[in-house]
Amino acid sequence: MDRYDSLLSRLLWWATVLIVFCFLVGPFVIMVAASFQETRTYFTGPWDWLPTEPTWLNYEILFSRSSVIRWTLNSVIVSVIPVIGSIAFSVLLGYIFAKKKFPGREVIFWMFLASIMIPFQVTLAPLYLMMNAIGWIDTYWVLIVPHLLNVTGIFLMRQFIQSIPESLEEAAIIDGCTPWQVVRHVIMPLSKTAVATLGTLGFITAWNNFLYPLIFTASESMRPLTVGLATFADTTSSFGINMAAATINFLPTFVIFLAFQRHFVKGIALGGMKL
Amino acid sequence: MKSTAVAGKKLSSADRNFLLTVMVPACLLFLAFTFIPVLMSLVLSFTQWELMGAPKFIGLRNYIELYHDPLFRTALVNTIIFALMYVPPMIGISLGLALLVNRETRGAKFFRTVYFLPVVTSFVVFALIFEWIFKGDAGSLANRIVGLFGIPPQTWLQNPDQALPLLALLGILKGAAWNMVYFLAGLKGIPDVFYEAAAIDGAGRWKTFRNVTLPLLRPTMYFVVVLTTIGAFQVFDSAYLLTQGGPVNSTTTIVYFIYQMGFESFRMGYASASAYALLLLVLFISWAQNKYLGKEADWY
Repeated sequence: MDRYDSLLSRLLWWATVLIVFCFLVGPFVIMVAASFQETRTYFTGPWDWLPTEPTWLNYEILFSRSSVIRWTLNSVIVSVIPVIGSIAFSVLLGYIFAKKKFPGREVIFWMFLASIMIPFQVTLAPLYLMMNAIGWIDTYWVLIVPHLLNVTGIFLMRQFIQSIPESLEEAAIIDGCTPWQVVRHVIMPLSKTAVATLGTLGFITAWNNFLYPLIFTASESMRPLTVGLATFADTTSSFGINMAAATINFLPTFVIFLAFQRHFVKGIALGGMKL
Repeated sequence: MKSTAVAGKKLSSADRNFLLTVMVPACLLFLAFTFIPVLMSLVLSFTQWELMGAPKFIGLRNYIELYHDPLFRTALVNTIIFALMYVPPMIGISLGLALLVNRETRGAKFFRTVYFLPVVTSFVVFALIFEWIFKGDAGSLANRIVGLFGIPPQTWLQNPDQALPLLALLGILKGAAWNMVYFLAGLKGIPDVFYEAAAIDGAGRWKTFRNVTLPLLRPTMYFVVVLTTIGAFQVFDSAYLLTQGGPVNSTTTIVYFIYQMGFESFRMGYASASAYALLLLVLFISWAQNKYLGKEADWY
């Protein structure tokens, strides 16, 4: 839009983006570097994190002294399953709210919509009591089942599916497609971008979830990576080991983000603006 | 007759089966994990219940206690101060970032992407790094940096006056790129003709920004302000991970208070009452913002 023509403004632009880069990305450089640096017994200054003699020692200690493998496995389970479930529900309900008419649709739709306004912390105490009563505390159930339905995702899909021309769907119905087949062969292929966005966002949100698993898990073997590492970091005061732990937690979201980054940035804008 | 389903007059049996198979489990999940807990929370807020024994109905007494509870007042004040320190800079910085990288060069595309790293990262990771950067001793990175400007070493997170602003800073660094994306989308949505007209009128950069970009960005602005404010009132992760509400309760926020009451003291009724106070506060703020900011924001 605005062309930067002069050399000066070009330099100024580069200086600004690099300063912002230092603030936003610098901490991660420190994190990865420090994870390969044996923590000194005394503090020598701000360059402590530079790995002068790179070592895997921090990772070795982390893997031998904590249940980090179990935590990672837990995180994978409680991120992947709810994401798959919520995508399925979002596509199906998005399709229903966008295209199907039935009695009570408006009421249900507005109830779902209104629930977005409610801070989720309101539900914590009653959920805890309910989960306690049915014995779900400290199990995978409590981390998975309540997250199968993602209301925001339903709205994202509804917005998206509304823009799919009616004629495509009608053609499929005249050809004898059941509603399931319409979703499978018409809606799904046309909403790949939205589904990819939803999947990436959902995975990262679930992976980074903190307060919820903090409350609903108790034993060390049920902790997801975020809570496990936070409690582990409390017990060690070694910067290097903590940074190794942080790196392990960071890696999966980083990889997913790199793989899907195009959808990610596009989709937030799409879903956010339309919500 | 199959096409009547699309026209919305009558449901075929295949449609009815489809609707039932999807809507019944979805509504059950919604009822069980959202609708009923929200109502139950309201009921609980009128009871006294410490997990042992049966809940006791005590009317409005939780709310009265809340009103007089100095810790809750501190939490409320801290949360409001946090929001004031967090929302305006967040809006300015994320809009600035969007303007900075809103160009179709390879460099801009690269930075647009890498700026996103904090957004996809867990607060746990962020907190662990920040704990070290803002260590209280003289040699810490933050103290070395302020030392360059002749400022003596600070105690940062251990200082009751500095802890909350630091949490706001942390939140801004973590979330700025998220809002940047909203602003980028908003900027893309402004038709070029407006800029062309401004150029013909001889408007400079600043004037174009003030009189074209900013007014046309209003709907995006409204949306981002509302979302950021609601987020600010729910701040918890950083307060829990970095300062545990301290020092001397200077970072005890409303959600931290709810967490303490509900899951450290196990006072379920009291926790529910404070959660409802948060709900009312958030609804009130959204309503006020809609009233004063949202007038022209109805096109999306």
